[in-house]
Amino acid sequence: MSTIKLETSDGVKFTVKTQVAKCSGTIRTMLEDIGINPQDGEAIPLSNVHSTILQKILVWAEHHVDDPEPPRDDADAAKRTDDICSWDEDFLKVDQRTLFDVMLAANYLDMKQLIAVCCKTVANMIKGKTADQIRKTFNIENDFPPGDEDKIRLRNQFCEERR
Amino acid sequence: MDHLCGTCSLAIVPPAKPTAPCSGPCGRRFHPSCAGLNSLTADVLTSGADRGLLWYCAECRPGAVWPPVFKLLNGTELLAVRRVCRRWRDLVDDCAELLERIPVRFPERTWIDEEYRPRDLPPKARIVSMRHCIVNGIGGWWAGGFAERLYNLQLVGCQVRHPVLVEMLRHMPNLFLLHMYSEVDVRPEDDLGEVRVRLPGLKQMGVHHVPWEGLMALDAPLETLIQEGPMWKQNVFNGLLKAVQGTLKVLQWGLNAEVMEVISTLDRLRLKTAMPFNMCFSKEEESLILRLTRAQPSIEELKIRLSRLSTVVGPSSCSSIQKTKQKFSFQALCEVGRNLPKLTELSVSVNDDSKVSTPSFLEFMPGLKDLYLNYSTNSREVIFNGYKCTHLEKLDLQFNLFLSQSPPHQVHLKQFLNNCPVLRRLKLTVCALNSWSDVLTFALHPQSPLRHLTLNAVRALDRADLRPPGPSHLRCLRLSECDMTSEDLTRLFTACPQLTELRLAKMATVTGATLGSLSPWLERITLTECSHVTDQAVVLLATRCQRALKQLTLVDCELVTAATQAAVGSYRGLQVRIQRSPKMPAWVPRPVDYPC
Repeated sequence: MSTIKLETSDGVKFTVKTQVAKCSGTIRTMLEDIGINPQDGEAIPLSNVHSTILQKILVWAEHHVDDPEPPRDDADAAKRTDDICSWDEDFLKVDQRTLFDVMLAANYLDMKQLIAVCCKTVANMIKGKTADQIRKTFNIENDFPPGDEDKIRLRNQFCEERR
Repeated sequence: MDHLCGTCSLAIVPPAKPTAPCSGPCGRRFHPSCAGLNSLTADVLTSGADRGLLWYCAECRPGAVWPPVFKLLNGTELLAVRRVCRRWRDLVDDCAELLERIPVRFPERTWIDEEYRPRDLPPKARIVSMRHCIVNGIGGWWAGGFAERLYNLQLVGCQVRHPVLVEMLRHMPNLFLLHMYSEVDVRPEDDLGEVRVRLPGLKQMGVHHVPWEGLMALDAPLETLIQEGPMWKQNVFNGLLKAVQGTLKVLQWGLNAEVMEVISTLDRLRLKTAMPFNMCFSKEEESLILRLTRAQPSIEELKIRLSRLSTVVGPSSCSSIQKTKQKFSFQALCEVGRNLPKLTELSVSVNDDSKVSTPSFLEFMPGLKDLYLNYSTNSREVIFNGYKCTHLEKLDLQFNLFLSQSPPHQVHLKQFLNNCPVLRRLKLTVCALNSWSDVLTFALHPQSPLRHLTLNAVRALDRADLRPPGPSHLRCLRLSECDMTSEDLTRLFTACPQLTELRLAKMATVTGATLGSLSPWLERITLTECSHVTDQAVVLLATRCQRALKQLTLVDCELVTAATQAAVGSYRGLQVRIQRSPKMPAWVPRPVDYPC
C-alpha cells in the first residue's frame, strides 16, 4: 500500500496511507491535479494544521476511509442534526478548543463529511438553549450595552419571540 | 481604523513595519508579532501581493465556523442566537438565508390601515404572521418589495377588509403557504363578482371556520388544502374545491353529503391523500366514504379521522361516540380496497360485531404499507391468520378502552406477523395475547425486520416464561401497563442489545435488576410511574449507558430523588429531567411546516 508524508505547522511529519490522506480534498487535489509526486519522499506541507489536530483527523479519516460518497442533493439529510453516528459522537467528545480546531482544519483540508459532523455537534450544543445558556456554553461575553437589549428588543419587535 | 494595529492599537506606519491584513469582515491589519503569526505565513501575508492565502484574526476566525453551524438551526433557535452577542447578531443579520427563516410576527392586536408604517421591518423576511390584527388598509410598504418575497403568510384571528385582502394577495407572487384563519369583512358595497385572486406560487392552504368568498375565485396551483374545524360557509368551500381541482392532491375536510355531491362531479380532481373527518356524528359516514373511493380511485392514503368535535367537547362526548356507533364494517373496507388499487396507507375506526373478527379486507389491499385500526367493536377475538401483507411497514392496533374492561380482546397475531416481511413498527393498545411469545417471537428474532415495538396495556393469557430467540435488532421499545414479570422483562431486555430508546410507564415489575440487563447503547430513557426504581438503579443505568445517553427523564417515580440528578447531572451531553407530577400537556397550536 502506498504512503505519503505530511508535515504539520509545528514541523511534525506523518506517514499516511495515500488512500486515507485522500479523504482530504485539498491533499487529493495536490496529488492528482498539481502532480506532487509522493514517491519522492518529500512531505506535503500543511501549514495551517497543528500536529495534535492532524493526528486526530487522521484517526477519523482512517475510520471513514471506506464510507460511500454521500448523496449530493439530499437537502433534508443536510439539515438534520440528530443523525450523527455514535462513533463520530464519541470521537467529538473533546474540549471545545479541540472541536473548533478540528473544524477549522477540516475546512482547510476540505473534508466535507467531517465538517458536517462537527457543525452538527456544535448546532446540537445551541439547540433548545436560551441566549444566556448559549453564552455560558461557549463562554461568550454579552457585549450588548446595558439597557440596549431592551432597545434592541423594541427595535426588532417583528423578530422577537413572543413569550 | 485601518491605520492602527488590531491587537496593540499602535499606529501602523508603512512601510516601516510590514503588516498582515485580516481576510475576515473586519478588514483590519495586524503586526505579525501581535497576531502570533509564524514567519512563513507572515512573509506571504505582508508581501502585499495576493497569493491566495486567507488569514483570519482571532475575532474573525469564529466567523468562518459559525455560519455553517447556524444554517442547521430553525427560526426560533436563530432568535436566541441573535441575542447572544453583537457579533452573532450581525452574522445572522448579514446572511439572507438565515434571516429568511426567522418568522416576522406583527405585534398582536395591531391596527393596520393606510397610515400604518411598520418601522425596521426585516427586509429579507419570507414568513409573516399576523395574529388578532385589524387590517383596514395597507400602505405602500407592502407592495413596495416586502410582499413580493413572502413565502408563508399566516392570518390568524384577524379581521381583514375584503378589498384590502385582495390588494394584499395581489402582490404575493411567491406565496407558497397561506393560513386563512381569519374573518374577512365583506360589505354590501364590495363587488364580489369582480374578484380574482391569482397566487401563482400557492401550493398549500389551511382554512378555518369562515372562509372568504374570494377563495371561490382562487387561481393557484394548490396541492394541499386542510380544513380545520367546522365550516360555516359550505358553498365557499365547495367553490374553492372546484377552483383548484386540477392540482389538488391532499385534502382534509369535514365529511357531509353536500361536499360529497360536489366531489363526485369534479372530473379533474385526482386525490392522493384523503383525510375526511366526520363532523356531526353522521350515520351516513360509511356510504359517503364508499362514494368517495368510487369517485377518487387515485387515493393512496386514506385517513378517516374521528370527529374533531369530540376533542373539543371533552370526555363527555365519548359516550355520544358510543351511541352513534360510527360503523365502519369490514364489508365496506373490502369495497374500499377494491375501489382503491393504489392504497398504501389506511387509518380507520372499525366496528365488527361478529364474535370472532377476521379483518378480511386485508386481502383486497395488497399494497398496504401503513395500517392503523381502531376497534370500536364488541368482538372478543380478532384473528389475523393467513393474510399476507408483503409491503406492510407499520401496524397500529388499538382497541376501545371502554369496551374492554373484562374480558380483554384477544388478538391472534402470531401467524400473521410472519407474513409481514418488512414490518418495522408495531403498536398494540389494550388487548390480550395468548402468550408473550405471540408477538415477541417475531419481534426478537435475529432476522426480524421490526425496529420499533410499543405495547400499551397488553396482557398475556398464558403466563408461560418468555423464551426470546434474540438477539434482536429492536431499536425502540415502549411498554406501558403490561403485566410482565421481572424475569420476563429481564429476558426481554437481554434479547435487545441494540436498543437506543426505551420508555417504560406504569410497570411495577421494573426493578434495578431488570434495568441492569439493558443495552449500554441507550440514548433516550423515559421512566414514568415505575414505583420500584431507586436512585441507585437509575445511577447505575445512566453510568453504564454514559457514552451514548443523551436524555434521561423520570416522571413520578416515587423512589427517585434529587440524588440522581446530583450523581449523573454532570455527565457530558446528558439532559436529566425529574418530574414529580405529570404536567398536563399545554395546548399547542398545529405546527407549521416550514419547508426551509
